[in-house]
Amino acid sequence: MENLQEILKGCLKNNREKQSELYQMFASKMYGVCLRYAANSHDAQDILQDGFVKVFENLNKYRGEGSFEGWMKRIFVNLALDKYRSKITHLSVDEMENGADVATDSEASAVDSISEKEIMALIKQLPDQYRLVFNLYVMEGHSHHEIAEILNIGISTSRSNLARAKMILKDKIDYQTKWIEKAI
Amino acid sequence: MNQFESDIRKKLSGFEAEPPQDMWSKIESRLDNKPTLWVVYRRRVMAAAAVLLIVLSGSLLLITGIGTDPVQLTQESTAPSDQPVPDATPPTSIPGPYDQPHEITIEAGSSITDQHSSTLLAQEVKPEATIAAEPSEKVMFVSENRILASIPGLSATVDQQVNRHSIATWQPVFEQSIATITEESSLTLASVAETNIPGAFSFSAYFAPQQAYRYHLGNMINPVQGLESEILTFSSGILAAYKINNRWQIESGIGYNRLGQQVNDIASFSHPSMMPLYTSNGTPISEHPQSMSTSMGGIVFTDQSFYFADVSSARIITLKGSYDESIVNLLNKTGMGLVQYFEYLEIPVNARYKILDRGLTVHTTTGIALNYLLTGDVYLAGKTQATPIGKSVGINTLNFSGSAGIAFSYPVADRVRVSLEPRARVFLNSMGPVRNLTRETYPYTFSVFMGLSYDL
Repeated sequence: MENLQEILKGCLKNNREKQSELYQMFASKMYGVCLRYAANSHDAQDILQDGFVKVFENLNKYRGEGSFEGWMKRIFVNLALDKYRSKITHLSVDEMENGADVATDSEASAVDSISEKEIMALIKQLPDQYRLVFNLYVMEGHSHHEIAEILNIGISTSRSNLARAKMILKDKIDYQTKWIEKAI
Repeated sequence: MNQFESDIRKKLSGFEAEPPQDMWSKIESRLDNKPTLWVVYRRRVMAAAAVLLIVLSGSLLLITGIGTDPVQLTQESTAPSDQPVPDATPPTSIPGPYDQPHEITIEAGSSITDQHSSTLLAQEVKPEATIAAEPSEKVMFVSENRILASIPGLSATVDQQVNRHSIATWQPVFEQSIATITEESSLTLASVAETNIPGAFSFSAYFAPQQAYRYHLGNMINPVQGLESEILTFSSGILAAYKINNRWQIESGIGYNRLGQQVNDIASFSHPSMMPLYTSNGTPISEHPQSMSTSMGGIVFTDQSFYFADVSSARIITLKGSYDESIVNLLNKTGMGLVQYFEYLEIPVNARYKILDRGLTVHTTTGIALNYLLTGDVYLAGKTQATPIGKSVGINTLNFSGSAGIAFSYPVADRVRVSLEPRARVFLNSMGPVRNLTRETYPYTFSVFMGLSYDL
């Protein structure tokens, strides 16, 4: 495949062939990102479509600072956050105050026994706010302080959302693992 | 991050999924409906081109338009109206450039005087014989004028451009808060470098209208208070910048910087036929017999067509016996004022620190510059014209200046940015105390840098 720099130059000139090449190069990765943040496939496809249009429209603003893939990913993540931002509640979840950690090292081994697609399916089932916090914390590596700023929620809310998300995921993963074991 | 989180992250970090087959065609159809980059940026590019055109035209006009026009003389002479004026040129009026006219009363048979002090004209030019004005005849003198008053219009143009494209219109995808998202890129650092769009270098050109002031240190400040005033000048130049990292940038280049001040309270006169005024027994003298002191060095007059007199202060020095009394009564008041200009070749070194990048980029700028004095011409200036009549002396050839500002830049096309930067500059060393009325004079300016930059 032609190197990225040539493709980007072509995209800057609105060359449709180069735009298609860029899409082919990153579509799968970005769709994976969209699926992680979206509640369903339909939303993920909307984000993917909006994201690529935005990438092509704003390509001239990419200044070569950091990887191009990272720059693209930020666009998709932000679009996903925008899509669900309005659904975010500012109330803290009182049941999980202080973000009690529900998953211990011994309990975590169940993750290895299920596929990534199954985990993705479980993440999709999380409430919007939990899913966003979980992605930002676990996948993107943000701190609770940063997540609180990004989503405009409290730090304690971020902690409790994460704890709840992990608890839900763990329960579902455990259940799925036991079901698989029984089936075997 | 505990084991559970770590396992999830490890499991999903490389997750990819095949989008629907028709996804590209949907995206393509949306792109087809989008205007091209040229259509999107056409107005901005044209606006930027217009700004550049104005900047270049202004620079050219200001650089070449001064000092070339002959001075027109007024017939509002200090000579009495009923006295014949031999060799007088036809009356030529000068548009009144005076914001606040300073009235001076000339009594018949007396020296030129105002309410506060005597003038040297009485001592040097024998006004009893030469200026036999009618009782209470009033002569208007330049008090304050404003040169280059049309320049500020430029800044308004750029302001409108910047406001039109408010940062509020930009998508949050560029928000700084997301900048630290962990990148799971499969691209190596080498491929990042390969995708170097744009590069670390950029070039820019700027034009900066500026208000030139000066402050004084020392014990002799009072003599010039109110007798000199700031003027509107400009600077321009080209710069090359190197981006050190995401935040820091250094730049250097070469520029032209004009400083100066208006010298008030000086009356200027000219012989109506433009012949040299000063002769001794019919023999032209080799040098102009007058000089004066200002807070920015001394002025040595060179054009013998003009003669100068203090109004209320005593700054003009005239060599006795250096004039031909027979033609003193032919003097015409020009109604124009003295302006000192100091033109510097400027070599700046600036550091820029990016504090905001959301479409509209904001940098803080600080730097120092070496200023090499090119000329120190003194002009007799009216509202629309000026002519060189002398030189400033006692000024340092080399000076250092410091500057600080805040720069706003905005992309108007691929790699092209338009910028607007309010900036303050101050000389770090005195202009030269040799013949100054004050011991130390430090010019400073408030500028608005308007420029275009291109990223390589």
